Amino acid sequence: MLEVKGLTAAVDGKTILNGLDLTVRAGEVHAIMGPNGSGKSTLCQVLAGRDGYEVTAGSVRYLGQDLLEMAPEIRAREGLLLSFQYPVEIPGVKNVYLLKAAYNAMRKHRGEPEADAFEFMALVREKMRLMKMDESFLHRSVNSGFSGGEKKRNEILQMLVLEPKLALLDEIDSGLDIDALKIVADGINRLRDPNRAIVMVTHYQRLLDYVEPDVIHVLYQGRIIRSGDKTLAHELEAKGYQWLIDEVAA
Amino acid sequence: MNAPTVIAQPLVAQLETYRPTLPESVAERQRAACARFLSRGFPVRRDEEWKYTSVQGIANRAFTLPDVGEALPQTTPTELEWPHGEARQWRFVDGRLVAAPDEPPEGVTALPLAVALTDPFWQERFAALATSEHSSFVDLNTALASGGLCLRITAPVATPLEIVWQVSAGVAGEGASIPLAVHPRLLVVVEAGASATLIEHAIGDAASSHFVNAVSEITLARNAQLTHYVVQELPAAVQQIATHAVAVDANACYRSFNIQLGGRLARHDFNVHLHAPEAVAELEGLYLVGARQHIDTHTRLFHEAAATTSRERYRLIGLERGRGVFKGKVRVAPGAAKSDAQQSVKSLLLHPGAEIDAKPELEIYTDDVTCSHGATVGQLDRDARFYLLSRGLSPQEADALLIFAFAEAVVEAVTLPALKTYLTERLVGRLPDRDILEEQL
Repeated sequence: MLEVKGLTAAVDGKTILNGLDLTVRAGEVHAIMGPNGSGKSTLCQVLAGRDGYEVTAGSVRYLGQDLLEMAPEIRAREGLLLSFQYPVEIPGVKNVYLLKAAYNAMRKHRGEPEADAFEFMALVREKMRLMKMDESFLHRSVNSGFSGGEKKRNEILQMLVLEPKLALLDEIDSGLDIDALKIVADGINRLRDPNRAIVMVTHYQRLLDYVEPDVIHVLYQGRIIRSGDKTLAHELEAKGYQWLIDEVAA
Repeated sequence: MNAPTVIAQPLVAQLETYRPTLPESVAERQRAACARFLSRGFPVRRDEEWKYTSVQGIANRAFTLPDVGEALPQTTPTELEWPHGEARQWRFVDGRLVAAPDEPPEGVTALPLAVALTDPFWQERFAALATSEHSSFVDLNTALASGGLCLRITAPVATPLEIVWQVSAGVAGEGASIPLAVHPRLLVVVEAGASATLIEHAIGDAASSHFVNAVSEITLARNAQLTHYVVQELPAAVQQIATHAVAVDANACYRSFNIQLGGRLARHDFNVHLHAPEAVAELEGLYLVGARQHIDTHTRLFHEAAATTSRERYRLIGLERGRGVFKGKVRVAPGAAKSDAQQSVKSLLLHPGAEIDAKPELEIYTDDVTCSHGATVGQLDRDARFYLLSRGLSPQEADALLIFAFAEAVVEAVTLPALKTYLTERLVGRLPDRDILEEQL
């Protein structure tokens, strides 16, 4: 589904990603861990198409297409959705407008007619119940005045409604208390599907207790320095990153 | 009836043979105002308060003054497109009252200006709050005021009160019709514990090129409340100057919405005096500045007593090659401790030829106050835009939604549902990509 090869990217002339390779197949859940500044968020932003990031080398194939050639909105309509580490507050744009506009943009892209308003609202309400969000939320402005936990639940709600093929979750677990973490993790588990891939970027082992990844990668200085199964996460939790960095350097 | 003699010349020339327009009780005040105006003349760009707005197009132009007692100008009433629902409406054409409710709601006394000024209650309030300090336009209005309304609110009134200020195409002249200079005057007194909602809606015949110089004097007694909507949708060639002088007593709350959509030149001044403890003012404003429009508002909030509060939020959108100006002055006087003043002014430039000047001005003469202001001029928020794109919205859709949201921030606070709906439709109609908005909203 996603094939990243030798990806090198810079911000303001500073190289952040430095020859990164990553392969993700449908049905898989990947976790990308790594110390601060290793390039985790940059990877998410580059994959989602944020401007200001300059890709200087490498390639990204997504569903057989050149992802880097696609505009951000086309990437989203093709099923690559990013949940933001810091979801943006947009006063004045109601959640329900955004969900509807996004949902219809994707349908239109697939050549399907616009959703029936009634069916769409039924779908949204069902997903809101899963995320334990009440009705009032629909008419609140996107993320505006939301608590940290509400913002992250909102990101997962969008995923549940929009049903991406590749869900990129950038530190979905940061700023969550244990109850919110369980709700969010439950939402992510509901996204698990043989036709869908999930890539989670995280600092902590904690999320992985609730959402078990198939593969764990360690990102360091813009490159994946180690990949393994979930036991790698326990090892990192116990020993930190330094031993691995030393081992790779040796 | 003899046809009135139509004299069209610059206003200053017409004032040389001045005759008071109102009852004898205020004639002296009118003459004095006329004399002051003649000695000062129109404001010029050298005046700090008129730095960005030239009124030469008013000073040099020939206008006709509505003749007192003259027959009503022939005009087709413009159908109002908003369902004013329960509102009681007074309608003026070129400053003359042409329609009034059969009976005002309970708690409201409404009198035409000339009638009211035979009563000492109104005589002492005429030209008491709005003075020549504000600008010479106030003197000009005081001298030439020919029509208007005096509203006294003595109880909480739920029914909104609406004044429609309409301008006609003008007096038939040789060739083109001759524009009028109209000087409406509004006096409002909200007595202690009383409350009301007042809508002033300025509209007119598309062919009009009048000059409207309006003055309102608004007094809120203790514990009174007034929500004051100013919706300016004048035709494209009309020039309007409006001065609103407001005095707010203890625990009273004055709330204004200044929605500026039309006109060629529209300059509004809000001078709000919070003269007793815990008086509150909330000023909200929105401009849509289109091609060849010049929209200017100056607000002056005077915190003159302890624990007074002001909140101000203005949103300015430059849609085309036009100009928007906002100046917001907050003055906290000595002794106005524990006062709290917050001002937020945001501007959005959507056209390379659009220009907006927004300037806050704080003068604080006491300690122990909370004051903040923020003014931004710019483009759409890039993070918000990317967030919407990352959800599959097209750049065009994202921009349309964000622009709407920017303006909606003010309209959202409108508490009258019919007016909110009307203003939302107006916004959608003026903003880019209305089809996208209509689909989404």
